[in-house]
Amino acid sequence: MNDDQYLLANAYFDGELTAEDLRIAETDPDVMSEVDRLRSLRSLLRDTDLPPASVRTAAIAAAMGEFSPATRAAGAEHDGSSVTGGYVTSIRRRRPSASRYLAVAAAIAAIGGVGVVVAGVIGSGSDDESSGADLAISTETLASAKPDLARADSATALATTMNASADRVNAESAPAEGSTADIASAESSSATTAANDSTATAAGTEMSDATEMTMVAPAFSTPYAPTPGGLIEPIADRDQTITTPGQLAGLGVLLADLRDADTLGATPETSCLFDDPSVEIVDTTRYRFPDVTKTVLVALVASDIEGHTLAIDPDSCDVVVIGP
Amino acid sequence: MIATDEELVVAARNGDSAAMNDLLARHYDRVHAVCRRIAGASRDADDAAQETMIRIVRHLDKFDGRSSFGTWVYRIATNTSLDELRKRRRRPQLHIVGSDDDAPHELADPMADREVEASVDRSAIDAALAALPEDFRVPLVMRDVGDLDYDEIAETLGVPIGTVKSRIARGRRQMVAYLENTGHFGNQPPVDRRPTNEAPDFP
Repeated sequence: MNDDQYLLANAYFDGELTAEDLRIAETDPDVMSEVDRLRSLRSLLRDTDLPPASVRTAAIAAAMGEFSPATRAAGAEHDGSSVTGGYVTSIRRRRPSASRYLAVAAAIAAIGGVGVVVAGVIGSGSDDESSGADLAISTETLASAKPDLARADSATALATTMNASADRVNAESAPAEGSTADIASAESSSATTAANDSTATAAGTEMSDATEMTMVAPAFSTPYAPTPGGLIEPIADRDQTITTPGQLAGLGVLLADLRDADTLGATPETSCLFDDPSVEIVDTTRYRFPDVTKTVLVALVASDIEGHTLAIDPDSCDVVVIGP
Repeated sequence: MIATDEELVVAARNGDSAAMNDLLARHYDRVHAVCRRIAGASRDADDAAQETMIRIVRHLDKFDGRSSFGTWVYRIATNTSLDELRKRRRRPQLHIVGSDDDAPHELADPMADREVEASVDRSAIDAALAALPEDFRVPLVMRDVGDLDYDEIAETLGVPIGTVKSRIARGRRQMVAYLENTGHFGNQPPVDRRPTNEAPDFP
């Protein structure tokens, strides 16, 4: 069997063939014989020893210990981040102690399909997390946004200060992309729900307009519109000039490995500080934007499911690029 | 009538703990298999499977239905297993002498011999997978155990689809060659079953 036949057998086995290639594969006995061998291999791979029942039971019990019917029923994220769909990273800034009774309430709606939601609420909250102001960056929304569109719309969006419901803001600002609009709307609904919930627990506090959503200065206000998505592109040299979000993500992977191996070196000094353990500024890099190459801070955002890498403008502390 | 995964997800999101429990129970064995094949036959696989269960609960609200629930779950299992591997690399290796795991199992029934044979075969698979470079092993397990498609594997691992295809195909070829060389695949007799400390060379 030659390599072409072998690759054809693999593609056939994985259901990745066109009708024409399918016909070719099925008329080649060598290919079909190889498919049988691949089937046998898969069967062996799937035949694993089952863990003891006690391990299984303990694992499920541990997970169920994290299940909170009350918060699920309320449609709120278990850990307090305002997420309903897709991959969302939350950057929480803890409430200053001086404003203990006041958390900023704001929802920044989508900027041409790029949604950044700052949901601030008043309320005592049941814990530290719920009382903090959340800056939630929907990377899924970013991934589906077109950079040019974002750039074009941002000027309009930035000039607008809105006092409106987050639903309305999102519906108006992201009409072009159906799925994106849905996601943004869902997020806004979540933010609104969270705000309402928190307001409900804030009886007796001073503020009465807790659910009012105010468009505040968005994080993405630099000339470098945040660029979304793509695949992670491996980076071997941390000093390489970065040109794409994928390379930024690759740099993030490299830096995370160095950090884990305790060989990262000193982290850069900066006034851009996030009071959140999930955001860690680890390095600087040169990032080539369409019109300028600029030194940016590189931050790693930890997440249980997948991490992200951010490029942050050291002057404005704005996020300018989000790696996938 | 058995509820679908999607129905259970909706119920769990609405606070139905029984639905959540059913979802976890339904997927645990496969999750464990994914973890076992990536992290190896060790406590790490148990830990990864448990951590996966916890992440499913914590992040259920993030499941957006673009893929099947199973696909979403196995992606989490893959990432969690990779996390376990990274942790393992960073910690000193301890070898416990005389632990219960090493104790021989008593053969108490007529099926025991067959179970031992199956266990030997499984060990051979473990050995073949362990000898496979991680770049090949992970996409292979994601495809053949986790049932993720090329796109999903590429996205999860951050490599191009062409690379995924190539690595899976090469991984399979090397696995089969290894198993054939050790007499655990097809009808080919073992080449040499004398004890050795060296893993067979891949082609």
